[in-house]
Amino acid sequence: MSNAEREKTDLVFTFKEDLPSTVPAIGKALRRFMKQVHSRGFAPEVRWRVETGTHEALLNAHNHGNHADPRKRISFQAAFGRGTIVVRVTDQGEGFDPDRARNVLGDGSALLKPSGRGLIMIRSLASTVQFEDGGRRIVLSWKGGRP
Amino acid sequence: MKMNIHLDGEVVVIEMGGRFAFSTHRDFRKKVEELLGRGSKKLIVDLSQVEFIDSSALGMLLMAREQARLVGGSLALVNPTGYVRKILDLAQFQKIFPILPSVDEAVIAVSGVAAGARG
Repeated sequence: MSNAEREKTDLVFTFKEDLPSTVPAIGKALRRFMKQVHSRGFAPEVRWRVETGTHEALLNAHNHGNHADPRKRISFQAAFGRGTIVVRVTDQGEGFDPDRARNVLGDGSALLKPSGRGLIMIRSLASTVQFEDGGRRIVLSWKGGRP
Repeated sequence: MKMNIHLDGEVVVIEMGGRFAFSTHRDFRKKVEELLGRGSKKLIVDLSQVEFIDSSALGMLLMAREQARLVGGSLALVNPTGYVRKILDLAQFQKIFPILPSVDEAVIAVSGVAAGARG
């Protein structure tokens, strides 16, 4: 196990929110989370990557996981380490095959499609991206950028 | 989200500001349909005041472009800055849309006539 992986497993998820699957609830939770990111002194470029990547993960959970059903929940958790942020977003949907999505989106055919761009953005903006629980949970991490 | 409209015949400038994201979806879509319905089919979306953009907004722009094309119109983007530009580059939007540095240049790009839609 690398030092980075060891640090990730040692992290404690101090930010924990259980949200109804609604756009206002997601927006408010993201603002509360970003206040914590700001207070820890991460560089502007990292803050933007974290905010946009997390926003996309929450939107995916709401739109594609929970199908915008306000009775369903989204678990939004984050941990802060030394120059590291890890975000876990879990929905109550049926899950999906991330490898299949990668093949569909990676061949350039997604360019003109109205949806599917969120995952491309997430993969580009986060340092690492993992899917767990059959695609119901996405785990993003960002490393570095601390002044 | 802020949205201001400047009309001049077939050319319309839609000035977006603040967060151009999922929560904007309904208003933006409704406005585009309304504008195309009244004959303003050459759309210019000014992004210079947008601070945050997400994948939903990219989808909205693609949808608006498609709707404009269906009625013989077009859509150009103006002056995305900073992180907004980075997202557009990530999505390879420069391959799909004309992206111009000013509204005047975008007016020429969509219509081939002299500027004047704003003001």
